[in-house]
Amino acid sequence: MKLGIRMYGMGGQGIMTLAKLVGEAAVEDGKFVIMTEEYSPYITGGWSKAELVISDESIDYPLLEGLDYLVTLSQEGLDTALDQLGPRSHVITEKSLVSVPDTLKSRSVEIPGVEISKSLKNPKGANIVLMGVFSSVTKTFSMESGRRAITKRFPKYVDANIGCFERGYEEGVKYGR
Amino acid sequence: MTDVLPPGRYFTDGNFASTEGAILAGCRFFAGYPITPSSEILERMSKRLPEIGGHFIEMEDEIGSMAAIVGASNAGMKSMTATSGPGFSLMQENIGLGMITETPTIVLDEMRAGPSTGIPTRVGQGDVMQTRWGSHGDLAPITYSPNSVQESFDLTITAFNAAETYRQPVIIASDQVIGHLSETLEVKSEDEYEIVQRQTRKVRNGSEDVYNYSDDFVPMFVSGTGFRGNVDSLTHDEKGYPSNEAYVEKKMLEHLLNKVRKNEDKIVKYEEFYLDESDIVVVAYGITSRAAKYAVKIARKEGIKAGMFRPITLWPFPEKRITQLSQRTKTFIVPEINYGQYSHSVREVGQIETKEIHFTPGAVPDYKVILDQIRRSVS
Repeated sequence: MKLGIRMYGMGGQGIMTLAKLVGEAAVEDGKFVIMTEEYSPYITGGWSKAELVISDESIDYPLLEGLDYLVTLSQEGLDTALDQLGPRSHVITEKSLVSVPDTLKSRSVEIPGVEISKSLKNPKGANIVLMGVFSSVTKTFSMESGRRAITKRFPKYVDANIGCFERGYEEGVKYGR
Repeated sequence: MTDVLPPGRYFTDGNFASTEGAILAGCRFFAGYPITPSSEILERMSKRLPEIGGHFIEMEDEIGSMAAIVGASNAGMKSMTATSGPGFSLMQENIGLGMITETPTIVLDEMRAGPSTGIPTRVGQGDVMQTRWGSHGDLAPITYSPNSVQESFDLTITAFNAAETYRQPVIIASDQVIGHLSETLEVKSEDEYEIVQRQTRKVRNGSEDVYNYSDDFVPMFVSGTGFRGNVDSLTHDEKGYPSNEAYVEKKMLEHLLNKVRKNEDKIVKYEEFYLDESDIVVVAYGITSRAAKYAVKIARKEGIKAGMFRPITLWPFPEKRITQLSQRTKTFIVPEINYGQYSHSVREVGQIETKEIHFTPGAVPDYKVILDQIRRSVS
């Protein structure tokens, strides 16, 4: 298994946190992970992008060779990736912020992460909802490793974030992949 | 947190790894001036060192930073700074000061696109020759080139050990991509690492020489502990006193150069990959070596006899090994994120066909470009 993943969002949405948590959880499960980051020059409001390669074997080349999964919390993230999405690429989006063209619908998981995180009284946790979705859809790391990574990163907000993660996981399962 | 990073597996970036490697190696003094892409090292040092009894100073510039770490080392501390191209240029004069005063210290240069301030957030490998010839006068520098987060940790420890052993500033030439990419870091328990401790001399009444030009390894004295010594940037005799005499220059300079040259076999490190019966050898270092290794793997699957040689110490140049390889291979390919630097040394020593690949600073090298060159070199 070797997957190329891009995570994209606007500054403040927690894209880097999401990518790092995914990396930490996958490493915990014995996977090899490499992650590169890129930002626009703005502190908030500009785009930010993380790209990960997750593999069963050690990774030489740090860049993506194909886009297997795009996780985006912004329309820009989808629009800028359209020409890189192949027939086997999948898309995970924040439903309230990204509209997915009909041609992509069958390969998309559209999640109302913002709404879910608000309902769980963790309004900043949309990224963690998507982490849960990512875990169940891609099977790159176990629920347990996801929980551990969250616990390590947010020792003061463990329950609120694990709530978002588990709910996201269930949402992902619904897509039955 | 304990003094050193607890053993375990981490998912972290090169800057974090360099910082923690330095602390494990015994670094307790850091002076620096923030500069992208190395700033996270300074930031983490500012938090970590005061926690563990060390000292952190944000200096007015890189000239002062280099002076401060040379001073701190003479006062008995293992010291370090981290910077990038523009700052590295400013440090050159005081790197020479560290060389002539035989002061162990570490300069980590995280290469970015240049010249001048270039593109702060994007990768380059344009400082490679500056790590060799940047400071004026004759020098025998030691430069390490990490190509992963793991090596950012491990080689920082190696670099500190070399600095203490050979008593001189040692350079780590990392790059923006290695500093900022995250991957797995495995940390062993502290006692599994070999750390060269500072060898110091007992205080005497004043007559003992500061230097000994017939011995490669002379313990330092520590300023402020009662040893009466002279540390000078002018050419000096073994007492440390300045001299205008050519014979003193000869004695001092040959000692400075020979302590590294005579020990090249111990210092030089490299990694080899698929070098059995290879007609083509790609010589690549730093982030470029990751693209090169991938290209070589694909070429081998296609039946092409290609291999890779990765200098881990850029300097001293791995002369013996390159000479040996040149006798049994046809072509060297040297990809770099610059317009041809290390390739000159490879060509000079190898004396066989040496093809350069120039990647423009600003991006991770595309492995396909290296693969194409390998294929073209066969046909």
